[in-house]
Amino acid sequence: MAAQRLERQTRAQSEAVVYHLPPGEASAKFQQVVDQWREEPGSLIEVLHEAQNSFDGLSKPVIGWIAQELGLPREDVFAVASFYTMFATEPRPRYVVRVCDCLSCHLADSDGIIDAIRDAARIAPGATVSDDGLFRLETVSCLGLCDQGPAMLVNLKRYGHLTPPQVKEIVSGLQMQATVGRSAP
Amino acid sequence: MTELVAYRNIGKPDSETLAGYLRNGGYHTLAKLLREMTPEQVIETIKESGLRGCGGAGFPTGTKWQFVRQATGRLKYVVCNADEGEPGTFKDRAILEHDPHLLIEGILIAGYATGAEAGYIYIRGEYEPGWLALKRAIAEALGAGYLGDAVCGTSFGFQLGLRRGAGSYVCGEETALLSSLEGKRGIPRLRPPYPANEGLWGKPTLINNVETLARVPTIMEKGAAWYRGLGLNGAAGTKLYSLSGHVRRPGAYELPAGITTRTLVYEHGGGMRDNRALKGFCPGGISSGVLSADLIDVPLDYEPLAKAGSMLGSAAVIAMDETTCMVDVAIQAARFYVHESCGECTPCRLGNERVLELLTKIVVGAGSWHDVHTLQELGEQIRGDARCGLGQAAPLMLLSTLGRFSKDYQIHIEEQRCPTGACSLRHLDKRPQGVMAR
Repeated sequence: MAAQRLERQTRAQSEAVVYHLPPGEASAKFQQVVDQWREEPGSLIEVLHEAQNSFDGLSKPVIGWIAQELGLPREDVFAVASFYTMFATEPRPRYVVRVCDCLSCHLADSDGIIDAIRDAARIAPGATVSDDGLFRLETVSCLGLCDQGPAMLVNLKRYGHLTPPQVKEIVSGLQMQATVGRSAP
Repeated sequence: MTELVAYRNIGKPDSETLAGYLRNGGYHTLAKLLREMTPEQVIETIKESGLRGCGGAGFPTGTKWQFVRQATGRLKYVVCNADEGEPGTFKDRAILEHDPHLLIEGILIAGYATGAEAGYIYIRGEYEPGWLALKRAIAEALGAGYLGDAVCGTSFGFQLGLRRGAGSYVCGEETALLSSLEGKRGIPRLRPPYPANEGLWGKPTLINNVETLARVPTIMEKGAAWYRGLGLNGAAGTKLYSLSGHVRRPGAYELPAGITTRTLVYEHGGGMRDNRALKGFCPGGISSGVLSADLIDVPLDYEPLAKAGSMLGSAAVIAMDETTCMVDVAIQAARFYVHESCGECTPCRLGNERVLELLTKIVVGAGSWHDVHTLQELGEQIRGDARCGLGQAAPLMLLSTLGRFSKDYQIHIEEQRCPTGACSLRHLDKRPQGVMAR
């Protein structure tokens, strides 16, 4: 009984938490997007896509805020966010590299591409994020680019017919871009 | 030269815009049919054409439409499955990016025939160019009166929504897709009830693949007999083949239904790369299992392939040459299913993990014939007991390699080596989401 009462108490307390979006332009824009989708049934996945684009990943406060706005239990929103591989609940690095790992790309040596990315972006064996935090490496089941294998997406930009030297070039290009972006005012 | 049906506008200038589509005779069939034909007549034409679902199951399209037409309830939906995710399949991509209006016209005809007044296109999240093209096309069609309350100025109204997936293979399974459209986790539902009676939000729902719907306008324009006559070896119409693997010219080809793998690979695909010999091929993506090279003259059609112990599926032909290790191929498939299992049923969730463990054991040279026996049993159990069609298809690659390429297993077990040296184990420990990481 006592345990039940305690559970009810904690639940009431956690429900009392009110979530706010971080102040800023991104939040204002996202608020508008959510207002557009609010009346549409089953729009949660679209809203999560937009949220992920507006903020760096689907953090707890963002998930809490979406649940609050759409009138859904927080657990349900988290359950959906964690089910789909394109959604990340941890902070998103600047570049998410998704290497296609389907049979066709595998036959075209996608494993060699994965090795080349690890080397170029300095991602330790077993790790998924690069030492400088710039890249996250993921394998995906099939990108539907089997005629251009081995293939990958960087964020949502497509690359096909890859070779290890090309991958090195692409990665160093992105690293350069990031340094320039950082030093800009 | 093959008559083009699903790819009829691909490669034409501005094919993705409304202006380009209208120039190629677009929406003309729809406007005519709304005024001159009853829904029953439309369904009859589709039935006569022999059109079958191009997503993988091959169910007769006209019959499916009739089920939805006859289902009780005023509110019905048409859902277009654009969650192209079966490894090796990329045929729908071109239609989505370069001919979105053809798809919309097909959906509208399906809506008219089944009595649905609303629909959704569910596109996989990775297909951003396709999503953008569809978004533009829907806005254009709405503005020009091809969508909305009075389609082509008639009393038929249709609202079309566009929704993205977010990286989940199982959402290509029709009932999982419905769960996802409702904004939930993509978990397959038990059938019956079938979506034709209880689908999206419990309403009667027609679910068709992109290619299926994109064929509809041309069939309605040129007639069922014309369409039927395009096929070879007893098959009806044309087919989109996604050809990949060790071939010289991989690509998506629209060719007569019922051609053989030999014609596809050697005439259209330019033959095998480096003139190597063909060892085996998957006729319908990795879910179809692998066939040995001696079955190259079996027509790529539903019944002949079923007889040969495989299936047409999404007609994604993956050709593999003599450098391929079939245990490695089985591992690749197992890894895929471990990653993509939704986790709802035990045979798929745990069975595939166990399959992957045992295959890995064989590849590192620690396997025995006992393991092969266990794999066979496990495979049969997953095939029989998994909850959805995707789960039931998961062990087909394993079972087919065990049956047709047992020599590859034998060399791994008895000589502790790979017959071709292609095994990818050297990479396993470096994978972000591989056996070791999970």
